[in-house]
Amino acid sequence: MFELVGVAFNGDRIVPGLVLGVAAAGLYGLLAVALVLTYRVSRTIGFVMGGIAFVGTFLYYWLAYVDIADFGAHPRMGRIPAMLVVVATGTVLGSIYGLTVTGKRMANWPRIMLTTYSLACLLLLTGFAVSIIPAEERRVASPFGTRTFRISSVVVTIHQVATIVILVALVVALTLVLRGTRAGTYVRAIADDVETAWWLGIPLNRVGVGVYGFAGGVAALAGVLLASAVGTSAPGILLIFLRALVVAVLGGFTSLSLALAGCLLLGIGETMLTAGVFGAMERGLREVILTSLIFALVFLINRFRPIRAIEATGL
Amino acid sequence: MNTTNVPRTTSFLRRAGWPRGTVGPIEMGYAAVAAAAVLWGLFAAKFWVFTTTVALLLAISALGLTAVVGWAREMSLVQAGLTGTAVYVGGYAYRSQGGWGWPFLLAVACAVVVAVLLSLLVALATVRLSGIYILVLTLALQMTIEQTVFVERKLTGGLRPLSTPRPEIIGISFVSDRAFFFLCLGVLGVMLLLLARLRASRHGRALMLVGTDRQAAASVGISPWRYKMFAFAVAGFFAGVAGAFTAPLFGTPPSPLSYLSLNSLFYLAIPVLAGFQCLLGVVLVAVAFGLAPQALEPWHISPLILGGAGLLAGTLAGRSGISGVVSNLLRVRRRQRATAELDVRDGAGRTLDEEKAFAFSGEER
Repeated sequence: MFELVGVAFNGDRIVPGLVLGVAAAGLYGLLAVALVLTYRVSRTIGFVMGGIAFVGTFLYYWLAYVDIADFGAHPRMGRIPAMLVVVATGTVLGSIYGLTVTGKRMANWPRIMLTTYSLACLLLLTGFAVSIIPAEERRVASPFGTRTFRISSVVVTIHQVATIVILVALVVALTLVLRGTRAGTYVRAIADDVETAWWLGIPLNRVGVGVYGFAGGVAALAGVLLASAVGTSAPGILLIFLRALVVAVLGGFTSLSLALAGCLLLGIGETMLTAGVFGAMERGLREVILTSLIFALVFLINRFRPIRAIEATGL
Repeated sequence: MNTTNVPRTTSFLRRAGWPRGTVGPIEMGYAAVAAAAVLWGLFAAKFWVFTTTVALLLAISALGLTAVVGWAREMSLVQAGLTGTAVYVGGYAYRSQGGWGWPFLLAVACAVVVAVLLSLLVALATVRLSGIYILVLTLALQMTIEQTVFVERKLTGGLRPLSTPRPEIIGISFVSDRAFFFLCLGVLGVMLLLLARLRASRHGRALMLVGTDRQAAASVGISPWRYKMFAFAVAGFFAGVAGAFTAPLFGTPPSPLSYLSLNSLFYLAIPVLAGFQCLLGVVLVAVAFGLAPQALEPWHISPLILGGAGLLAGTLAGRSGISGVVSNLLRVRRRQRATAELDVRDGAGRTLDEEKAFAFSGEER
């Protein structure tokens, strides 16, 4: 450990910080992907995805959790089937939301009203989730098992590895779909100019419902992964959702690749501060540093607008 | 006084000779609500008086949010965090055991200054950005407050019980629940008056112009970003006052769980549901939101559902909210009554339509 311009620096903690930071990024990333996708078709923040993630976490808990104290008790479902049921539920919820916002009544609403509607749905879904499934703050076993790996002296769980693999696979697949398929072209056309897309005969409702349904499934999957990582703690889930929002902001809400980069930046930054790469730090100070960094990045992004150039490449 | 020529359909005040134009339905509404609140404070059960005091303080905070959401037309998701900060800072400044032991009014001022400064901080950082960024960054500030202020045991007490006594102001003790209720009612009245005066003032109108059309405001010499900052400062001021009076209400610092980010959404639901035209509507909705979770307790309905339903109803009702719907209904009714008065033509009390029907019926007068 040495000091650099008055700041302590623990070089030996950089690698663990990097590894765990990448693992943490996966959690933010899935929700960020859902937010970016919905923003592309509606130009509003899909707060409802946070509600779907809440439903996902609580539903997965209800289906797959067994208390250690209940000897001989069985969960309602195996962990993989439970995950599939939750993802299907998220897809249905997302599609229903998509149907309402792309319907005749709401299609021409101002963006701020749609955002408020989305916030209302977040509150309703969260309220219903915590009312119907009263859960103590418990973590549920990962659907991927309990194996652990050692990467450069750092122990990582299979859950963390699976999360990051799913995220990267999702971003790559979505980028390919958005760039190379007709459906992707439709989504990009809607994101660029809704009116022109309508005049070109693109089925706005169908594409909108499809994207919302897919994003709902991704958000529900994020909920399942959160059930194992942070458990059924409402503040914990909200904190992750906020991080995802911030990551999406860093990507201008439109770029999946920038959002992924934002995930890595935030995940690594947060983990390095927590691991004490820059010396021991209280939680409050860490949060203030992170928030200041986020504010500064948002300010810079707005000032220099690199997003447009990246959007032009379709990424 | 001769009241025989005044039609029976006019209000009893007019019939009693009260001059026209001095008392409108809004003034009547305010008077009725104030009278009901006083009666409630005097005769309701202690538990409900306490719960209503909590709701009154919620109303003060929600009124502040109206300036940001309704007038400047920006979304802020930090109001619960600001209120919570004011609760803990105000309580710390006021209590003598484990705090600074300042006089109550000085502690209130301290809480207000902290809340306004925090609000201005987020305003400074976001005021030149578009609405979506403001929304997300206010949420970021809320989470930062949760991770910094709400985990500070000196402020929140943690597991150690801290006592924040009820205050005594200019020799009047507000120790009892009823006395503290009337104190909070008085503060709410003052804040309501302040906001109403602000709305009618040059600055209030400028703020609303900024919210409606930023370019038009700039073209007439109104600085949009300065007025947006002003709106955030107003929101911080109201959150500070609400928080400072909440601290001694509970006796011990309340749980930070009451001021988390989901609660900010709950706060936002109040002005959105009430609408931005009628301040009394905001107060009534806030009181309903404050009382409903307790009233619905036997059915285990989460307050989040209430907040969500409120936001949904407010969104569907449009900018004027529930108060707009109610005032429209009242306006239509008043117009119908006025039309009915004008249509009275003869001693038999026939309306114009009835008169036409009578004329065509062929009967003799």
